[in-house]
Amino acid sequence: MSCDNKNPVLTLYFHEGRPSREKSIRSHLETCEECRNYLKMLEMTGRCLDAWEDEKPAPETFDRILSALPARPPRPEPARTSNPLFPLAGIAAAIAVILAELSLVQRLLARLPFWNSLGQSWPLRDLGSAGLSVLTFFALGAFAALALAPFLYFQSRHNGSCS
Amino acid sequence: MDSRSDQDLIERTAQGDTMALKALYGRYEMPVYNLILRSAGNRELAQDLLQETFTRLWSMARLFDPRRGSFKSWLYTIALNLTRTEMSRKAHDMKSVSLDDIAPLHSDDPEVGAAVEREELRNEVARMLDGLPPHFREVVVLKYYHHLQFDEISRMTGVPAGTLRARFHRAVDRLRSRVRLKDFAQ
Repeated sequence: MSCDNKNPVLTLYFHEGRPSREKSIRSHLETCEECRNYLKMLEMTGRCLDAWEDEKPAPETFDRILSALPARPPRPEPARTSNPLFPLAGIAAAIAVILAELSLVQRLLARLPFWNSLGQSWPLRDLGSAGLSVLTFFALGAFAALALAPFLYFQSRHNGSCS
Repeated sequence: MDSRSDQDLIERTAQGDTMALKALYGRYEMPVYNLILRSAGNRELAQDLLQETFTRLWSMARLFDPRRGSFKSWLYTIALNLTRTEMSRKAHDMKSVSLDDIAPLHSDDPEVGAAVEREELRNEVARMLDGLPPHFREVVVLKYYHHLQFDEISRMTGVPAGTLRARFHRAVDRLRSRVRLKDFAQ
């Protein structure tokens, strides 16, 4: 045992070691004055600190605690088990609706006289009507989003102030 | 004295049983109060923080996990964290050792004389502890007064046990240099 390391003396003083360990530390102390002095210092410090005896808190403390207790917070709701197929089914349905609407818009556009005047150049006619129908569809979507934006904004502010 | 275990009482406290809270309070009011008092050195603050500790216990009872340590360690950790926070908040505007403010009494009555002597010794110890940095004082209080093992303090504070031992050695060295140990030798 190195005398630079005072940890074994702490182990002995606080009885934190096994009896065999404490016995070996005691036998070391018989030959090491430095460690003996350190143990004496620990004992002396302990006696000194004992002069500050335990004190009692004020007797009315628990009544004050009871009166200050906050309302018990509600238990957290158990997490809802969601069906993992539900989002996929929803996305597939949305895509199907969008494609159907695009097809409808394309057919309506193809009936316009302008498209008929394109005659035999079918790639221009078909691809053009498809592209125009997509643009029309997303323009209608953007218009609907902008029209709903003020309503959604005020709705979110209202919900925030109530929480 | 309530014979139910701490675990049983904390579970009942978590369900809103104030009688279980009262039983825990009766069991731990003295050690928690004295832990805070010796760490903070101020009776009024210790009283407030004792109240706050048990109020937190009530709110946080559901979070206690016996696999992570004993109830006592958990409660001490709440008290120590509150004490640290409050001490650092008030570090600049509070005189920490208000025990010094007790005016010395003089009397020919031997009982009063003994009480005065005890009070003076206690104030001397409070001054000694107050002279230590907070992290040194904490380990000295938990070791000497509460007899916690270094490993247990390590789990509570998150500081490695080796570091705690080193702090303890240095704290004892500082105490030796500050106190006239002969006053306490008898």
